[in-house]
Amino acid sequence: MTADALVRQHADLVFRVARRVTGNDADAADAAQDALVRVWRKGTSIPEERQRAWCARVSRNAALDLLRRRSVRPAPAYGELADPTDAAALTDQRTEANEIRHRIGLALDQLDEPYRSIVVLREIEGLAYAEIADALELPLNTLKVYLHRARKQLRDAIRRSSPELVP
Amino acid sequence: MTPLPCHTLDAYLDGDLSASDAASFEAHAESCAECSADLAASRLLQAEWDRLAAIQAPEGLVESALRDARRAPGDRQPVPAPRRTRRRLAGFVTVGALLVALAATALWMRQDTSPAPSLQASADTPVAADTRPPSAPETPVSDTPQDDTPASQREPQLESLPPPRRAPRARPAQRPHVAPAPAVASPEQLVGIPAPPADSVAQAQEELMLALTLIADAQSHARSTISTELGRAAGTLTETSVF
Repeated sequence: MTADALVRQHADLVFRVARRVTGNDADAADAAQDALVRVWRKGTSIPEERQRAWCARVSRNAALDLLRRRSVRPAPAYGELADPTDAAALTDQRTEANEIRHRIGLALDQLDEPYRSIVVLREIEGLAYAEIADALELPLNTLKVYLHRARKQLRDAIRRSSPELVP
Repeated sequence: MTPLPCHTLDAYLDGDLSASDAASFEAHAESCAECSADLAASRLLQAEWDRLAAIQAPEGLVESALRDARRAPGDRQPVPAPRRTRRRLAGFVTVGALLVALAATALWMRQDTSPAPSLQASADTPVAADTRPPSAPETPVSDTPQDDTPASQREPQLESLPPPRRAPRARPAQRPHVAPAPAVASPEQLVGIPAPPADSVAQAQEELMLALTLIADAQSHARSTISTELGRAAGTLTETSVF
């Protein structure tokens, strides 16, 4: 596969991962562009079965580099509310779907690393366990334990914030 | 059918359960408030993950990144060949260049030392002259039997000859390019050894220059390859260190 094709194939993944880290589309686009340049330069030397995980890692690093250069902490993608239950006060300003989305986003933002990256790579990007372990350099069993904990924490957060939806 | 325990939720969500086990878990969840709530929350989460997974890169991002990549100084279109292959290729080129250089040098030496027997004899002559009366420079020094003539029979002749000149050794004969100008009698002429033909010398010099050029090219290529690989290694370290 040529470098150009590699960039086109993984551009969406790279952007989504960067978006998850930076918390907004503009910064995500900047970070994703840097990441895609790296993918173009080095991606063809990565074994094909590892390219997806490698692209995710490059994107995450590019996003963290961007934030570090600006001396900015990663911004939550869904807002700065610390307690998901506080979001209930805004329910009347949003549609129900948006409200659920917002609460899930808050719960995701409250996950520490590497839990959040694990959830993003597994649930959103659909990477296999082995790929995630490779990307985050974690032992496979540790990764499974972390994912189990992260899922439980997210479920608990949703159950607390949306008791009307989760009996 | 025995309901599965609550901790199989993750396996259920990952689709790792068989159809019958999945059905068992769903049946269990209907009667287990905890699993039922977790399952409902998981479905809400899954809907959001699906939505986030559909987000695409902004239009123009790819083209902009490709332009940046091609414009970046010092970067070339990556070659898809594995690193090991490139390193091996550089090694082959270096070894090949060295072999060519050795072959050219050997050829040159062979051409230049073709009258080796007489050269050897001439080289030995001065040594013998130290212990015996000097031989006449004009007399060809060769392996002919007349050289075995007793010294006493040659002495009268030798006394009338000019002062002895040190006969040339093999080394000067191997370096025709530093030989005296043709106007002056060369050592080879003095001992009767024909100088190598000028075209042979020129050819040997040309081959030597070619070999040296190949070696220089191979060294340059190896240097650039090593530099590139070091850059890659440094980049990889930088990327991984963030994690």
